[in-house]
Formats: sequence, C-alpha cells, structure tokens
Amino acid sequence: MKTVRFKYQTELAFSSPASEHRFLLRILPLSDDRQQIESLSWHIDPSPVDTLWKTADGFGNDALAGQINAPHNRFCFGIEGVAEVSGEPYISSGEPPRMLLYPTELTRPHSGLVDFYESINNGINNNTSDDINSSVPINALYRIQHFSHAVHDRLRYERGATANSTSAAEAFDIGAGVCQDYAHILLALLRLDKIPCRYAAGLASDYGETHAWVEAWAGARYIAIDPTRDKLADEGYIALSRGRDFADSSIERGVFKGTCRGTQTVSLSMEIS
Amino acid sequence: MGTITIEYSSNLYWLGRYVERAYTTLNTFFNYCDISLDKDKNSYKEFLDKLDIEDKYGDYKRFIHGYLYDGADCFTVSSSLRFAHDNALVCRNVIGSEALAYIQLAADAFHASSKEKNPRLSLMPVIDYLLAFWGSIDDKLASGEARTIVKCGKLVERLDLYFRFSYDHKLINSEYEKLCYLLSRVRKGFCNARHLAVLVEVLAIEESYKARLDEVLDSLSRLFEEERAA
Amino acid sequence: MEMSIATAREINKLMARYGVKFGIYKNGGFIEQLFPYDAIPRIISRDEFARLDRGLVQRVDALNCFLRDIYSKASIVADKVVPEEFVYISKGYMPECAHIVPPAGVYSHISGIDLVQAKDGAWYILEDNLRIPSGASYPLIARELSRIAAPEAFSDNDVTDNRNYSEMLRETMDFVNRGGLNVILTPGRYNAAYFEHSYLAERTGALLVKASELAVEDAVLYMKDYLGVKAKVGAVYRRISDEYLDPMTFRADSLIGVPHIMDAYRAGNVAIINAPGNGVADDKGIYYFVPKMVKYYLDEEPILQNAPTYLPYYEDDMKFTLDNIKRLVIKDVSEAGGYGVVFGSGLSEEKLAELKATIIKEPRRFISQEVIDFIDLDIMDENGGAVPRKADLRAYVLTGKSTRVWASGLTRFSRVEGSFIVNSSQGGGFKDTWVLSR
Repeated sequence: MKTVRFKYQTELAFSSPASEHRFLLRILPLSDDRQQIESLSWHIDPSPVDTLWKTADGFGNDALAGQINAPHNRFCFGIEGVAEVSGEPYISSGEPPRMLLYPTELTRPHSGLVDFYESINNGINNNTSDDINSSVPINALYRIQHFSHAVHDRLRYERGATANSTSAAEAFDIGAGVCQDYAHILLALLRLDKIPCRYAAGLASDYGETHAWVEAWAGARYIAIDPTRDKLADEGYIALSRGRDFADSSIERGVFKGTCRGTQTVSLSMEIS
Repeated sequence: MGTITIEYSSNLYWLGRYVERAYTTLNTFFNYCDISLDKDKNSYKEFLDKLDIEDKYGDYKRFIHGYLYDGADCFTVSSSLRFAHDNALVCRNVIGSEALAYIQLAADAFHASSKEKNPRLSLMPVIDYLLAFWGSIDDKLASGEARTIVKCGKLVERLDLYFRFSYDHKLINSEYEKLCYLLSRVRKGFCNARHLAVLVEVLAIEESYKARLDEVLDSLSRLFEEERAA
Repeated sequence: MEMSIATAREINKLMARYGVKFGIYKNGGFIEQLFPYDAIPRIISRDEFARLDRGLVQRVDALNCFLRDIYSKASIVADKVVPEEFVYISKGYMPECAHIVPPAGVYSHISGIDLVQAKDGAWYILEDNLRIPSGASYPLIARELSRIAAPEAFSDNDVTDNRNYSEMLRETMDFVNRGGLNVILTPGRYNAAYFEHSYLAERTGALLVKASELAVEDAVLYMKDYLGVKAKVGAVYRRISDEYLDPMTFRADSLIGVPHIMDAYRAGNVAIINAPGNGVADDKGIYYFVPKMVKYYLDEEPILQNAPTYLPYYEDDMKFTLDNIKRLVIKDVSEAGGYGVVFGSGLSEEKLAELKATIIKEPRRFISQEVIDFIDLDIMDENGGAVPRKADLRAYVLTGKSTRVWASGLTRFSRVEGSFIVNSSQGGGFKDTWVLSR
C-alpha cells in the first residue's frame, strides 16, 4: 500500500449562460481492498448550489445530485483527498452481477470484433501460460492480459478520432481512439470470452484527464487492467465509478437550459509516496 | 395549497381571454352588421380601426367573411376560437370534458355557419355554446382557484375590448368591479400591484381612460405579470 | 344485438363532441383523428369472463413475481427456467433498476393483455403489455356515450357497468402512493394518446403534468404551483417510456423526462406506475416463458394458453421454424405496435430465404408462432349492414392491494377484410366490450 494524495477538478465553460442546470456527479470514490479512501472533500462552483444531495446510482456508485437555477457561465466540480492504494490490481468481491456478461449498446461486438476475438482466442490456445506467480487462476489472468495486449496493439491512441458516443465496434473500425474506446473494445472481447467485466472511470497518474480502464472477473476477485497503457492497475489508479460501459459510469451528467456546451478543462494531480 | 402549475395558470388565463374575445367581438360585430344594414356601409372600418387591425378587405361583404372565417389571420374570430380550443384542450382535467365540449361545439357551429347564407342568424348557436361554457365553468368547475383564473382572463379581455370600443364609463366600471372582486380572492403574488395601481388611478376619474388609453391597455395586459424586485 | 345505423351515428357524433381522438404523425405533421368506433359491441358471457378473469389474474400475478425476482435474486434464471441471455439482452431489462423494490412490491400496476379467440372458442394470449398499455379510456367513454345514445341496449341486456375503471385506477395509484399528489405524466399535447392522458386525469382526479412542471429536490419529487409553492408528489402514472423518463439515468438527451426522478424512486419517496424496467417481462422472447412462470412462482397450471410459439434459440424450434416458415408468423422481438410482424404465407421465395438467413444469424431476435385463425366479429358498414372483420381483445388488469380484471376491455378490429393487423396506429378501429352480468 502506498499513500496517494489526489486532487481533481473539471471546469465546464459555457458559450452562453446555462440555467436550470441539473447535474449528477459520480466523483466520490468508494473504498475497497485496492483503494482505501482515508479522506475526501469535494467542491462545486457556483456555490452555494440551489439544491444538493448525496445519492447512489443504480450501479452502486456514490454520487452528488443537484440543481443550479440562476444563469451561469461556468460549472466547476472537483475532489481532493488521500487514499491508501495497493500496487496489486486485485479487488475482492462477491459474485459479479450476471449482466456484466452481456453486451450493451456501446460494447456490442460486430463481425469484425468477433473475428478479432477468434484470432486472439486461437493465439491463446496455441500458447501455454508460463505465469505461475499468482493466486488468481492463471488461466483467467493470462487470458485477460492477452486480450488487453491485443487491444493495445491493435488500436492507435488518438484524441478526436472518436466521441463519447462511439461504440466499441465503431472505434475498432476506425482503428484509433482514447481510453474509453480501448476499454469498450476490451469489454466486448472479454464478454465474448464469457468473462464478466466492468468499466471503471477514475483518476490515473500522469494522464492529465479522467481515465478509463477495465475490471475483469477472475474467479473470486476482479483484476483492474488498463488496455490503453497495456498494464495492470497499480498505485497510480483510483476508481471513481463503475458500470457496464461509459454510459453507465460517466463522471458527469447534466441537463440545462441554454444553447450548447462549451469547453472542458481538467486538472488532475496524484502524488504517490 | 395550490395544485395549479404555472402552465395551467397560463392556459386557464388565455382560455378565458380567447373565449371572451370570440364572444365579445362576435357581439360587437353583430352591432356593426346592424348599423351597416341601413346606416353606414363602411362602419366596419371603424370596427377594425378600434381593434388596430388593418383593413385588407376593401368592402363590407369581404370583411364579413374574412374577419370571421380566415383561419390564417390570428385576429379573426376563427382564430380566437381555435386558440380558445387549444388552451381548453390542455385543461380538460381541470375544467372538465363538458366545458371543453362546449368550446368544441362552438367551433363546430362556427365553421358550419360559414356555409350558410345568413351568418348573423347561423352564428347564434355559437353565442349559445360560449355562454354554456361559462355556465359550466361557474357551475361545475371544482377548483375555485382555477375558476378565478379563467374569469380573470375573461374580464381582462372584456375590459380591453370595452376600452378599445370606447364603451361607456359606467359599463366599464361595472366590469372593473367584477375584476376587483376576483382580485380580492386571488393569492398574494398573483396580481401585479404596480399595474393594478395604474388601473385604479385611471378608472377613478370618469372618461380619463380615453386620454390614457395606451397606458391603461398596457397595464391591463400585464396585470398578472410576475412582479420583479425593483 | 341490434344496433341501428342512426344510433351508431349518434354515438359517433357524441364522440366528436367530447374530442375522442388519437393523434398520428403523417407526412411530417401531427394530426388528430377520431378513433373509428363501431357501435356493435363484443359480448362476453358471464361464465366465459369468469374464466378469463381467473386466467388473467394468475398471469399478471406471475409476471409481477417474475419482475420482482429478476430485479433481485433472479432465481428463475439460476434455476434455468428462463435462459439468462433472454433476460439480460432484452431491451426492456434496465440494470439501473436492479435491487430497487417499488412501493408495495408492485411492478405492473396496469397490465394490458392482448388476447384472441380462435374459431373453436378457445382464447389465446397474444401479448402482454406491462409498460404503458394504452386504450382503456376509449371503451370507457364509449360506454358513457352509448348509454346516452342507446339506452334501451342497456335496459334490455344485462351488461356489467364498466365505468368503475377510473375508481380502479385511482385505487391502484392510492395504494402505492408514498404520500402526496397523484399525477399523470404526459409527454404533452402532441402525443398520440393525449386524449387518454387528459381524460383519465379528469376521471381519477389526478393532475396531468409535463416534466417541466415537476422537479426533484433531495430525492423527493415535487410539483410547483404557479406561485412557486411546492407540493410533494406521491405517485406518478407516467405515460413516458423508460428510456425517456430520467435524463440523469437513461437517455441523456431526453427533453420530456424528469431529471433525478429515479433517485426519488430509488429512495422510496415516489411510486412510478408502471415500474421502470417492466419491458423485460413483456418482451416477445420472454412471452414464451410466461406459462412456465405461472408454474414456477405460483405452482399452478396456467389457465390461459399462449399461442403455440417457437424459439429459434432452441435447436428443435429453429428446425421447426425453418421447415414450417410458410405457415408461421415471425415476430421481431424488438418491435412493438404491430411492426416487425411477418406472415410467412405472404412472402415470396426470395424474401423467405432472406428471412431464414436472418433468423439463422440472429436466432434470439425472433419468435415464430402458429397463425391463430381468430374469429371475425361483425362490424357495421356505411349502409348499416354487417361485415365480418378480425378482432382481438385487450384486457386491462390492475394490481394494487389485489389483482383485478376490468369487466370490459378494448376490442380492436381490422378495417381491412381478412387482415389480422388490428392496431390503431395501422388504421384499426374499436368496439365496446360487454361482459354480461347474468
């Protein structure tokens, strides 16, 4: 375990004032055996907001819900805290919900992804694992990592190539994307392999904005794995929310009266000691 | 505790206004029809002038048909009835299906009259149905608050038209007193005190409303505007 | 049952008077039209209805058990009575609803069960509608108006009065109300069923509101009046589908939903009628399993039968479907309202081959059914004569303290000779449904 001081903020600047703004923020990390949250504070600006309450979403994440009525040009939210984070990627849990085995709109495989899955699967079956240094069933960990490698090798990291609404299949055809797309494609492959898995959104060191990775079930616990960087999660990862895909676990959702959304600025720092 | 949302209050108010507009313009129209029989064929021009409507008809006959039935022109009786119906339709659950049906019947009778030779005669059922609508509102509308709002709309429209047609001060005062009675029953914050003060001031002196017509019409139309902190 | 053409005209005139309409979008515009009404009622005998009543109560109770189970332990899946993928791939399954127990544990408060009667007299269930089954207002007002236009029809026959629907509905809302107002949430004036929304609001005393008139604060749903005074809402009979209900939970681009309403619901502060997530139980694929649910949850034999149905998902059923496709009706499980229904007999060889290929490729997407040659009912033509047309029956089953069947229903008929498509969106008309009291 290492001590991690984290600080994160997103600022939305609107091109014209927003009013009657309702929002849901999934920015409150929960403790588990990979991340122990020792202290946490949050802030929202403009302040004070008209109504604000703490809630939970349908996927077990903590969240802040609220409303700002008066016109405002910017909306800012963030958290700051200290966590003890493990260098190991494992998270113990009860049996995963069965829904994590099935595709969602954003992770539904098309024939290209199915072919890709088949080719990776054939590759795995022709090799045997030599990783015996783990209490997780070797086969599961090995498979999960193998799929993650394949996604990492196949995709090119490129901002702007995809959008929030881009599905795994679309990103796969484009051949490029960001962390969300890497995660969606890996989720699609793992689910084809009958491995229950979930999308994790959160903070990662040296990433500069919120990150996304995958937590895959490997019999008795989840393994947090980051296909974008092709590595298992370590002390540099703090999960804020989880769901079947991006749509379930997006960090911020909002509706407001106004013309359009403006620019988003994220600042994020993690000090690991 | 109120259960009338801001949308309902607006729909009820405009329902009252449009029903009244259809009713009083029809009645006034009948008066001008009467004058034009043996007195002044061009009296309809005065009618339009009072309502700030441009004379695009040219002659009396075209005026009759156009002013009544042109659905594309939002100042016509046809349009008033359509707007009344639009507002009534979204208030069915408040005013009741029966009151809504009277608006439907008035609109149906109105459109049927367009095919008749004598509009003055064939339009009489329209007046009947509009009066039946008010009977239904008075007799059946369960929510006193909703009834007050519809009738506020009705009296604002009536006063507006009476002002425009330069009605006798006595007649105006009697309608104004009805309005004051309603206002004594509305909840605090509904009626705009500043605009009410203008009405009170102007109507206190007989005939002064003619001199200050624009001002009084403006305050009347904004009587239920939200009061903003100065 | 004799009904003269003059009487029929009088009833239709009264329908126009009271604005009994439904809206459709046509050529880019919204128009409202009268719902074609046929004055000859469908008549169901007392004994026949008693049997339907028992079967429908049983079916709806089982479906409510299924929903409660699916969104908690999902034991029916663990026990392999219903295959897991049928549940979790269903568009109607809402993972956001997992582990939420709705007020009083009721999921389907208002169920619209579509039945047909075969030529041998047997009734078959065609479809369950557990999301927003519409249509009850039409026979309700039709009866009201028929009693005015044709009083002797009711004085000469023993017809069960059906005008208690609004009371039943209000009791259903009151039973789950969490303290506060009953409201009916409508997408607005330009919804196909707006007449129904406003009429049911009038009859039940509920307030008809749009999303903009509601707001959630601190996980409590409120309605604000015109002066800004808040009143708590205890039950929402929503006429908006799940996807659009809450932009914070479901489709983020919904403009007709109430942000955070799911939060108020999850906190147990408001009842949503019908519960979100019910679509998993009225999925055309799940339909196949409803008789099995009756056995599984109630340990009873199903009283009412499904139309014989095959799931290409199962190997034997796939073979049967492909071999007999010409006499089967194929339904795409993701479509509703009479869309996505294909009769094998009506397809060219080329189209048949295409359909077969699609079924083989996506077996989970389709069910196939025997075509039930259901009965024709007489409808009145323009001259007052009687002509036979296919007709079904939508029964309304309300669940509150107990499950009750409305002693009436919506009989829909096709206006095209020989056609089996009775949906109003496809030009069908409706009749009153008489349940005899003796």
